[in-house]
Amino acid sequence: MIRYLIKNNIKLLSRNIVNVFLYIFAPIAVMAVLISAFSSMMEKYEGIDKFEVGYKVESGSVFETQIDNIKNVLKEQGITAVMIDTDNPKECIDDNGFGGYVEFSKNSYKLHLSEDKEVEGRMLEYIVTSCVDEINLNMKKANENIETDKLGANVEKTIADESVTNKEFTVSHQRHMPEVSSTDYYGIIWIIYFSWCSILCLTGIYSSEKKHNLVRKYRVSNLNELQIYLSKFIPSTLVIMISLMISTFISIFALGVHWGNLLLSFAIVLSSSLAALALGIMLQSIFESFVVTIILVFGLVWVMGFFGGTFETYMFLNVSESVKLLSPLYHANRACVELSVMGHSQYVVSAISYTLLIAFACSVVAVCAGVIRRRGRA
Amino acid sequence: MSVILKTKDLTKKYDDKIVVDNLNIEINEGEIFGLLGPNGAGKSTTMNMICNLIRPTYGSVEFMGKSLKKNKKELLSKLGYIPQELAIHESLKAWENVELFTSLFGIKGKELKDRIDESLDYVGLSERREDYAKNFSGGMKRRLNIACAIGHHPNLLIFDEPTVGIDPQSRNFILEKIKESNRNGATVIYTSHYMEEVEAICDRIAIMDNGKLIAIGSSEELKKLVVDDADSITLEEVFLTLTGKKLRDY
Repeated sequence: MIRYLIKNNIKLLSRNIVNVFLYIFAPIAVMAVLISAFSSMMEKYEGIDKFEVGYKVESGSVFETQIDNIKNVLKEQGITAVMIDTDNPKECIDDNGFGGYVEFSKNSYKLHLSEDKEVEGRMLEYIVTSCVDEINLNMKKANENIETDKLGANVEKTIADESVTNKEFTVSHQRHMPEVSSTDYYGIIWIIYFSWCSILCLTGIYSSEKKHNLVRKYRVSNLNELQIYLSKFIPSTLVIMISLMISTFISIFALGVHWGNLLLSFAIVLSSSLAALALGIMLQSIFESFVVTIILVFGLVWVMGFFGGTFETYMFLNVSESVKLLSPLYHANRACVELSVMGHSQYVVSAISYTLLIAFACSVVAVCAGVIRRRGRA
Repeated sequence: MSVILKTKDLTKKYDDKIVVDNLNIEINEGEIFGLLGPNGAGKSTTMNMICNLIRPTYGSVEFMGKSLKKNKKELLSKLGYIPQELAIHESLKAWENVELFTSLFGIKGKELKDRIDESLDYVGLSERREDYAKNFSGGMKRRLNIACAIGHHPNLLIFDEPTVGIDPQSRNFILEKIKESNRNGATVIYTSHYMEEVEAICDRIAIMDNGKLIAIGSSEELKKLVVDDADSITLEEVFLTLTGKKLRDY
């Protein structure tokens, strides 16, 4: 019954020149700009091998029992921590050629980064921040009364409880990313980002349906809400996938992007599109305003992209891992970039299952919203 | 003549406002039934309830002897709705529009292709089947609107002001086609503000005002409600007499 509706919606979508531009050429244009803008920064990162950083730990600091763990984590990443007691960290960095200097005080730590070695400094910042996050987490587990909003608050409470202070904690291994070029990084993540903008392709159809009150006509023909939903979901998925596939192949041949496992990567892009479309159709079903839908979708996608490494590379993003993990874009970006660089990734399963869960949940809500709205009228 | 559509105490209320008030009408199979009324009389709401687009507050609609509410799937496939606004996709070709809307009633394959050809031929758009609807004139779009509603051979056709904004030739063509559909066995419900159209094609006319049915009968019967000599008055004058000349600013 909806076979022909799907077929004609595919025609409507593919005849819309904006869709062609948006999903085939726009990702390439954005990629080209960002690859060019960040190539010098990413090249510096490619050249990073091993380097040294200085540190000092104040007597009585909560980090005293953890400093060996932190040093081990840094060592695994090719960073050697050298203890130097100094009151002038900047001079110490310049004299010794350090990538940075860390002062561990009683309740806090301070990072001094090298002005010349920008990438080394950011690596140090990322690793130390991650280590402190792990320490926070372990302290919370050890003492359930601890609040985890700020390190200072945690540390004050643990100092009062000696049984917690003296307890040994482990810091889980922080894998830092192997070298990735700006071409591969931005070439991959912007295809994923555009897959999350999939709802835009339905602009023409929603506009036409609103202008001519076509949904009313579908309801007179006794189409149910699931059929009305699928008549948009299926065609838009097909058109988006074909467009992004074309865009991907252009990125490979024209820009030299390496995708690694193309099949798995595209499964991640497909599941991202499904989630994005389901989310957009759900919001449209609830608010019945495409303007509101677009604002909400783009707002959400921007936030997810911000924490997911779309704008700043996720390995240098100074945000805790637990926040990043909330963003489906983080899972997708990390999975695809690691597939490109390492050939495997432990984020593939989470990237696909997280997005499929979003797609399923949003689809159910979209259909239910349509049924409730229809019952209110009929 | 058997009754094809019957409304029983049909009422629609929005908060405290009664939009359709205890409407009881019977439409006979094979007739062209006109529904007149000023703006806000409740005509569109009545049409929407008949098409199952909105739920009545009280009352019921019976179609072909069965409750519409309980037999939706079966009965809606026998109903063709031609709305006042043009319910077509302008970015699709003429034949694609007819295919889309006819297929919604379960028609497919060769039978669908035949129905598309038949519907386009019926409205005089066969030669323009490969053209996009956006390139059609207003009259052609109205004809395509009709073609999209008749492909599944409905028993009941509901026309909601089908001749708004088109030239006299197109209007005359549409009216002729409505009469032809009726001769071919379809029952027609026709709403319009053009009294001469209603008078020309309708067998019986119902006049609504403020949600209530105030008069029903043939054109002649309605005229005789107001004057003895039916030839001395127009339907428009009858309408204004029964509903008043006050503006309806809704």
